[in-house]
Amino acid sequence: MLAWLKMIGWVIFAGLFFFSMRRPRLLRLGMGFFRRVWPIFRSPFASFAGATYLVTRADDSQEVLRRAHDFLLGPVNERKILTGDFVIALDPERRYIREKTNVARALPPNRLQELEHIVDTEATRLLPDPLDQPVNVTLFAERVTVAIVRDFWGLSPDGARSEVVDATPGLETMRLWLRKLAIVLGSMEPAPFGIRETGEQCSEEFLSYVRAECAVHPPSSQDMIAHLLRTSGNNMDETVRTIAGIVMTGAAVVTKAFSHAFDQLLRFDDALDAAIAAAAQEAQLRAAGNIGAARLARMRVGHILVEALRFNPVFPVLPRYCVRSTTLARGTPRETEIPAGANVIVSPLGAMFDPQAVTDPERFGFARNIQLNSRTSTMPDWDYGSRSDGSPGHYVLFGGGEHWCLGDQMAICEMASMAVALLNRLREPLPGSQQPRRPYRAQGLSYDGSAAESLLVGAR
Amino acid sequence: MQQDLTLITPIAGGWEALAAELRNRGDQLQAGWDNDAPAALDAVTQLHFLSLFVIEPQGENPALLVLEASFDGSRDAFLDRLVQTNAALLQAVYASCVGYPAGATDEQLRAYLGKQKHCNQLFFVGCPGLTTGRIAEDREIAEEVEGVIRALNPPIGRRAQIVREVWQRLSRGNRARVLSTPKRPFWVRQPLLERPLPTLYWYAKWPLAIGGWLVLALVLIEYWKPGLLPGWIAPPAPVLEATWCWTLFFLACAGVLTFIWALIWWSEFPSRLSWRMARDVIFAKLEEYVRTSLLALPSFGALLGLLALAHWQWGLLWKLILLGLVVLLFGALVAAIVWYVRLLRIGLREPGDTVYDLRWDPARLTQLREREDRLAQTHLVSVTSIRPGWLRMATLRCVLFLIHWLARIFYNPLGLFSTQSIHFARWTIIDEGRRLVFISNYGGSFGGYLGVFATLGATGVSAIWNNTEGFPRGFILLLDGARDEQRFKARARDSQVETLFWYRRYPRLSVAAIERNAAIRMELQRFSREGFRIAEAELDVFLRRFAATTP
Repeated sequence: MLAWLKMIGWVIFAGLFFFSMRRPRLLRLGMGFFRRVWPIFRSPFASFAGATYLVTRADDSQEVLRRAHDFLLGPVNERKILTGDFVIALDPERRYIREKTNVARALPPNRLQELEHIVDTEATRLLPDPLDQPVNVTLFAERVTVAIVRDFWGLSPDGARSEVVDATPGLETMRLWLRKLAIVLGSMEPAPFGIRETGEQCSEEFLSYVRAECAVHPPSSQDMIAHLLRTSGNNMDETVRTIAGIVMTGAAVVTKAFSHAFDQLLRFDDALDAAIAAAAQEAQLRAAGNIGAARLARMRVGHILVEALRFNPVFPVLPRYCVRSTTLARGTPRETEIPAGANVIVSPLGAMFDPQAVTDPERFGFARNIQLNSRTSTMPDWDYGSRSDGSPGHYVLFGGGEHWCLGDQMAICEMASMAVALLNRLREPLPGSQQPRRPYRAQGLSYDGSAAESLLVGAR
Repeated sequence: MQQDLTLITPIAGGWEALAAELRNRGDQLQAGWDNDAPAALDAVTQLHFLSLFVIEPQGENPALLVLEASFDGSRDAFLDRLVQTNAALLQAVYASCVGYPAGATDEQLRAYLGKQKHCNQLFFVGCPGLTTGRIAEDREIAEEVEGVIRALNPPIGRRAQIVREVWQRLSRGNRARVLSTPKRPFWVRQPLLERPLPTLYWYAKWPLAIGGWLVLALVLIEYWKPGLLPGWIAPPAPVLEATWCWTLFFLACAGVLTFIWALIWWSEFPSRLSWRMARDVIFAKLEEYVRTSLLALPSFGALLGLLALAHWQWGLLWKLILLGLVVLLFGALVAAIVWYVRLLRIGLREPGDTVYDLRWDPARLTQLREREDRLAQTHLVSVTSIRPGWLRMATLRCVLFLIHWLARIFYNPLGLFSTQSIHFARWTIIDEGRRLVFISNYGGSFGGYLGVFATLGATGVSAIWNNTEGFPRGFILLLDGARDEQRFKARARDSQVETLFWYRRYPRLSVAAIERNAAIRMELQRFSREGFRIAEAELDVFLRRFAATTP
C-alpha cells in the first residue's frame, strides 16, 4: 500500500514541482522566505526522500558549488545524462580534467564570431523582415540551435530519423530529439510522465545517429567533431559522448534560456527600450561596416539578457549530492552539519536575489557588473560580459566552482544574436507605416515537461 | 551460532601440581604462537577460545578445575571432537579430578566430560554468528580487497566504478564466498537499539498482517454466509457495516487520488510523440498502476481486518491494554520500592569494601601480568564471593538474566557495555551460590578494558558486582560502585585468578577487526547483488575503510 501511495504521491509532487518551476515570481517569493527564515533548510520529508537541504543564501550557495569534492554533481547527473558518462556527469578527477581540457582545446578561438554568423544567417532565412505576424520565439530558438548543431558542431541533420517523436526526418526530428532529451535534464529523478521512457528511447536513437555521423566525418573539416577527434587523439568513444552531451545540454540550455530571458525582457519597459536601442545601434553599425562597434552593441544586448535571466534562470535550483558528512557555513550562525548521502539543493534564484550579494535585487539593473569564474571559463577575455576579477561572482546562471558551464560565453553570444535579429525585425515599421513598433507578449510561455515549448511575441 | 561450555570439576588432591602442569602446557602453547607453530587444539576446527585454570580452595570451598570453551555448533559435537584430537591433554588434566576413572579410555573420558554439569548465568558473544571458518574467510577476503584497492593507487573515477573494478579483480573463490555469505542472527541484522522503528515494524509486520487477514476472513464469511460461524467467533452486524464503510472510504480516497494522478498525467503528457511511443508510454504507466494496485491489496486487506477488529473488540482490547498497563506499572512500582528500600537497608548494614586494606603480593602480580598483553587478546578470570542472603542472590540472578537477554534484544554493535573488546564473556555462579566466576576473552589490556567498564559500563558492572563482597560500595545497586575506577581495578586485580592454559584461534584479531572484515564481506555481497547501483556516500564509507577514496 505504501508503494501505491508513493506512486501517486510522486506524480502529484512532480506536478507541483513543474508547476512551481514555471512560475518564477512564486519561486522567488518562496526562496526569499527560506533565505530569511531558514537559509539552510532541512526538508521535513527527510525519511521519505532521503535527507534534503535547501540552500538559498548567495555565500552558502557559492560554498556548496565551490566544494566540488564534498558536494558531487556526478551522482545527481548519473541517471539523467542519457548520453553516457559525459564530462559534466563526472566529478573533478583526472578523467574529468582531461576530457574537459580536450573540449576547451577543441573550441576554435573565433567561435563567438562563427556563432554570430550562423545565427544571423539562420535568422535571415527563418524570419521575414519586418515581422508582421506574432513569432514563436521558442521555436525560432530551437531552429537556430539546430542550425548551430549542424554548422558549428558538425552534425548533419540529414540522417536524423526517429520512431519516438512525431516529426519529419531531418531538421524537425533533430529539433524534437534535442527537446525531449533536454526535458530529462531538467526533470527530477525518477522522471515522471513518460519523460524517462521517451528520453531513453530518444537517447538511443540520438547516440547511434551521432556515432554514425562521427564515424564517417571527414577529418579535414573545420567543425567541432573534427577538432575533438584531433584533440582526443581520435578517441571515438570520447568524441561521441562529448559531442552528444554538449549538443544535448547546450541546446537545452540555450533554447530555454532565450525563451525565459525574452519573456522577462518584455516585462520590464526600461530594459526592453535599452535592448531595442542596442539592437538598432548594432544593425546600423553593421550596415555601416563597423563590425567591432556592432559587436559591442550586441554584447550590450547580451548583458541585458543575462540580467533578465536572473529573474527566471534556466535552473532555479541546482542539485548536489553530499558524499561525506561535512559542515556547511562553518563559523556562522547558520552552521549546519550535512550528513553523508544528503541531497543539497542550491537555489541560484534565491542566491541571485540575496541583497547581501546583489544590491537592490528586485531592480532590473542591466548595467550590473557580471562577474565570471575566470579559472574555468573557456576564454581568458570575457567578450559577452565584464572582464572577470577572479571572484566567483554573484550570478549563478552558469553554475559555479569546477562545474562552471563550459559554454557560458557561447550561450550568451547565441542568445544576444537571436535577440538582436528578433528585436530589429519586431521594431521595424510595417510597409506603408513610419511608426516604429514595440514587441509584446501575444501568448505567454508554455512548456513541454521542463523544456520551453512556445512563447508568442508580436509587435504593435 | 556460537555456544559456550563451562565445566567446573572439584580436584581430588594436589591442585598445586595440576596448576603447575597447566602453566607449563600454557607456556608451551604461547611459545608456539610466538613462533607461528601449529597447536594441537587447531584440529578442533569449531573452537574459538579454550582455557583451563584452577580456582584455589577457600574455606569450605574446594579447589576447582575449570574448563571454559567458546565454539560453534553443538556441545556434544564439540566435546566429541575435543576428545578425538586432544585426549592426552584432557586425560593428564582430569586425572586428578574427583570421580575420574584411573587409566580412563577416550570413551570414558568423553563420558566423564559429558556427565559434568555445564553452568552459566550470562554468556555474551562479541561477534554473533561469526564462526571460526567465517572469521578466517572474512579475513582473507578483506586482505585481498585491500590489496586490490592498494594496487589501484590511487583509485580514480566514480566510486561505483572503483568498487565494481575491485569486485572484478577479486579471485573467483573469494567472489563465490562473498556471494554465499551466511546471514547473521536476526537481532544483529535488525538492531532494535540502532533502528527502533524499522525493527519494531519488522517484528510486528507479519503478526499484524496475519491477524488482520484472519479477522477480515471472518468478516467476509459472516457477510456471505451468515450463521456459518459459531456465535463466539462471528463478527456482529455493526462490525460488518463498519468494515463496509471503511472499504468505501478507502476506495473513495483511492478514486480521488487516481483521478488527480490521471489529471496530472493528462496535462503533463509529453507532446509530439509518435503514436507508437505514446501507446508504449500509456501502457507502461497503466501496467505500473495496475501492478502496484494489485500489490497493495494484501496490506489493504490486512488494514481493513485490523480496523474491523478495532470496531469489534475495541472496548475489550482497550480495557485489556489499560488493565495490563495499570497492573504492570503498579506491580513494578511496588516491587521497585520494596526491593530498593530493602537493598538500601541491607547495603548500609553490609561491611564496606576492603580494597584499601589489601596487601599486594608483587610476585603474584608479576605472574598475572606476564600472561597479559600477549598478541591482541587477553584472558581474565575473576572469582568473587557473593554477599550472603536470598535478596542478594535473587538480585544477582535477576541482573544476570536481564543482561543476558537485553544484550541480544538491544544488540549493540559496540559490544557489551559499549566496550567492543569482548570476544566472549560469561558469569557463572558456583559453590552452591557462594561465589561468582567471571571469565572474559577480550582484546586489549587489563587497564583499558576495566577502564571502559568503569566508565561506559559502570551501571551494568555495578549491578552485577555490587552483590559481591569487597566491591567498591555502591548505592541502590546501580550507582557508585565501579565508577570508583581505581578501587574497582584494584578489586578486580585482587579477585583475579591466574590463567594457566589458554588457547585462542585467531590471536591477532580484535573484535573490531573481525567485525570490520565481516562488514567488508557483507557490503561487497550487497553491492554485487544490487549491481553496484549504490549511493556514492555508502561506497565512500566502504572505500574509506581502506583510506582510499576519490578524488
